[in-house]
Amino acid sequence: MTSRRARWIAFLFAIAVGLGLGLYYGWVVSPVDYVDTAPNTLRADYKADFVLMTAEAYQADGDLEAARRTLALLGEDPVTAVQQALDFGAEHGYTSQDLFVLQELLSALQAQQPAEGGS
Amino acid sequence: MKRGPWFLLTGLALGLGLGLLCAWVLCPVNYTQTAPASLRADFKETYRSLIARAYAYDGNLPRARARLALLGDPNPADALAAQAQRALAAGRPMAEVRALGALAAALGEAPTPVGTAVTAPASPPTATITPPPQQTLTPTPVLAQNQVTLTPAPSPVGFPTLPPTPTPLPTRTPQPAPTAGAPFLLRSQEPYCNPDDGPLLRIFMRDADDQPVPGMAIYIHWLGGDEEIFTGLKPDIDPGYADFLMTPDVVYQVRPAYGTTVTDLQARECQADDGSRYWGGWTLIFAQP
Repeated sequence: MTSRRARWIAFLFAIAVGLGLGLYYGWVVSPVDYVDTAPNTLRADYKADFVLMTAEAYQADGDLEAARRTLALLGEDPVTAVQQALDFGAEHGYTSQDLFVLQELLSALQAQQPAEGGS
Repeated sequence: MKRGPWFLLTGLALGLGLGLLCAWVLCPVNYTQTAPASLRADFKETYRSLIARAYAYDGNLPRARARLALLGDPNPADALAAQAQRALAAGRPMAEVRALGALAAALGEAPTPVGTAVTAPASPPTATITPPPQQTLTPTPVLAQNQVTLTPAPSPVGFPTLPPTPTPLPTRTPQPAPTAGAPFLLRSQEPYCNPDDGPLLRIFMRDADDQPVPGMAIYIHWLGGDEEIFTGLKPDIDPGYADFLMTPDVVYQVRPAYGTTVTDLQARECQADDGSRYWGGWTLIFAQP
């Protein structure tokens, strides 16, 4: 009886060891490789810079629709994305010019929203 | 009867399978805080285009260089030039094509600073966002456009917006203005023979100071068709260079966006050293007086 119990314990222990090895291999040695990610997975600082570049491009060409399409890649409402970038920029010392272009894009997006809602 | 240690191996195999199932399928490592280098190729193109268009606005080359470094391209200028050509072929907006070409040309002209802060900081292994240290945000000497900075220290986090903006006011930095000044006149027209290139029309644009002019539109017209090409898409050859592959026996007209027209251009026959003949082209140099 004792031998049977010991065998079960050893069996469960082996499973635990195997589980640990599997997790170690899957998470550390050979984790799932996300090489083809999308912009919505970017870290917050990269996202903020992505929005800033969009705002600068908008300043250059004035194409609000293009800016909206680009921001949509972040997987959030464009207004929210710009607002978050503004907050991030204010918190992390973006220059006044960077904050200005972000604010300009935010204002343009907000100005367009009521018109869309009313049509 | 002795069963042996098979139950242990079975348990190990079961556990291993469960572990891998969990690690790869049920709860894989979650990369929600990725860096631009891991983006899919088409998103990288979007990112690259954004960098170029942002550069078209602010003219901040160190910042553009730092942003490009985040993408991990082996040669950012080549990647930009290649993307500009693809964008042109795909009918993307000319502003985008020009922006890509202008940035490629600017990178081709400016030396790459070695060990500068404008190269992108390495992304930290951890997923946490650490605010950048204050010293990286303090003002540093104002940089003239295209000037290379060698001083700021790299940020320890992947914070890509740190190179200081040279202009404190929200004014638009003008793009390269190749059309400013006098019209471009044909300075020289020489036969071009290279069996590897075929009937290639090579065009170089120079300003009044004999400097290359990137981002210049050139119109090529022939019976039944026309095309618009841009200088600056092959900065490895010359920032003011553009080319066009002619079809033999077709007569072409070439006109810079702001300049004189060259007519009656055709592919011409060239002779190799062994006496064989092949199609060659022309090299045109336009310059402002």
